Amino acid sequence: MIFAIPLSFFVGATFCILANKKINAKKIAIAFALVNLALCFQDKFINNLLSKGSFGLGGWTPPYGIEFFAEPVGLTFVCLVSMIGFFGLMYAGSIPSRSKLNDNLFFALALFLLGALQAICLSGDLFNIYVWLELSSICAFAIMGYKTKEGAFATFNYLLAAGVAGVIFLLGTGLIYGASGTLNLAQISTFSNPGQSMSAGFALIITSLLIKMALTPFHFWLPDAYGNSPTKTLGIIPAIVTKAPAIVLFKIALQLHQNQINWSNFEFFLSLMGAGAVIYGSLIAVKQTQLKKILAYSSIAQLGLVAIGIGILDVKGTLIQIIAHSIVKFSLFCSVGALEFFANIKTIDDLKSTFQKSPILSWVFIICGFSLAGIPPFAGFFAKYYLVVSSLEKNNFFIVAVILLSSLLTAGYFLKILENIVFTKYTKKPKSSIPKTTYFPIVFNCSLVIIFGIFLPRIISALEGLA
Amino acid sequence: MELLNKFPYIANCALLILGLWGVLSQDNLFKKIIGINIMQSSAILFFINLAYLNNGKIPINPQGETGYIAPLPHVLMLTAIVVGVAFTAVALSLLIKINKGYRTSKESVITKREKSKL
Repeated sequence: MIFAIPLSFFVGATFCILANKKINAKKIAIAFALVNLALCFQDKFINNLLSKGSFGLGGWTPPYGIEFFAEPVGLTFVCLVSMIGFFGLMYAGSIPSRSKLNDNLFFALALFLLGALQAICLSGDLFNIYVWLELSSICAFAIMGYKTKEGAFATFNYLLAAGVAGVIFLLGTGLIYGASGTLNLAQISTFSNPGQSMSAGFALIITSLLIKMALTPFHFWLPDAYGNSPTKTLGIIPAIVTKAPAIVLFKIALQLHQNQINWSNFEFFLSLMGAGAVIYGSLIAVKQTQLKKILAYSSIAQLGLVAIGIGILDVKGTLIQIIAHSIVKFSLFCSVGALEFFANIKTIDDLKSTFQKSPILSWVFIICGFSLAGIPPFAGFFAKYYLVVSSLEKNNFFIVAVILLSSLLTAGYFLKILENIVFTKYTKKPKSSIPKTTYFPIVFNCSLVIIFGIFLPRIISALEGLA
Repeated sequence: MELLNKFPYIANCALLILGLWGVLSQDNLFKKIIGINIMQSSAILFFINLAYLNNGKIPINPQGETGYIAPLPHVLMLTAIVVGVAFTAVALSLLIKINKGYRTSKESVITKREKSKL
């Protein structure tokens, strides 16, 4: 059954290519995303979420056949991709296409991207992870760079970074295969004493994943690529694409740690890079004036927190950080995209009449900004809370300081936005004509930020009780 | 003899570094794509080297015999070649888009124009 989840996206993508004027691609894409959502949130699947399961493809048992491996970290992300994907497609469908862009191809590529992202996190086999990673990034290049020349150039830089990362991943896979004779992740991690070539292989794979998740020294492609990507893609790309490599990294980290391989070097290394990303991203974000660029640098900072979570191997904190950040960034990027498309608001100074033009989106900005800064009733608070608690348990006060500093810096650049939205004099300007279908996904996700904030402690204790 | 056995791996390293140098140093975006292609070839050759065995037999119906060439890396590399082709296709189509927009494919010229806009 687990194969049906990514497969539903791939089947939908094939139908999208064949769509015509009567049954348009938008409806097909949303229908298949709904099927995927239903498959992800069915009872049986939630039960799988709490247990571990291995599924061989084509009737071959795992060490020989291709394996889909279900475990809590990956499955949580699969559910997240399904949800964000559904709302992202809905958002993309609500934006009318001004240029003569082929809608069929856009939705087909978006569905392939979402399916590949789900398959990355289910796959338990290094070479398959490579193939899915490449599929997801190739689809991402295509839908990010189709519209403007600036977008194409920014995407080209992303393509070069991801291409080099892909080759590095393949070489790492080769080294591990040569040393251990297997590609199965679970079987590889049973080698309790890895030799030199296996360690080198893991180092290459981790480097490649760090490039793909845009951690600080490798973040150069991200701000331009997000800042120039077309409005339609804003619901899908910035929220989840860089988190899939992070999840793979986390899975590898957990597997290696389980088998008593010395993780402390990686812990130091990842925490240091994460701290660098948090500080660098937040400081640069303060300087930016373009809204999309501010959000892009803020993404870099938040991914730094994810890297810190992976470094100290804190499952709860990292997962909540990934979920909270995806939902928040989805709402923020979509509102910025809608404001740019329908009201021509691009920079901070343009924001001055926003409260009158669109009060709903202003509230979205306020709630999501508070969540990013980690103010208690919202979802972002719990991510930081768990990260701080588990780093205190490890007596790692450096990380605690960095996390608290990140709150302060986030407040720094977000208060600039909020100041322009809230504390400006009313001018007589008409309300903008943002359609209701655009509002719906944004408002729904923004309400999720509050709901998560209120109910998350209960959900976590319930999950712990079941497991 | 020792060095002769290691020669394919040294050649792999040379190819990898050549490709990386191309990606990092070349100004022309088309040459950067070629650099990535060279890197991909080096990774593919690395897998093939892993599977190679001197005087190895063809792995069809081995029937208890030993000393045949491992088939799995070859199969994996077929997939990797397909991935590489798809990657190159998207890269070239983006390059066409860039070239139509800016009338050049030199990175330094394009970055200069982008900076002068701000």
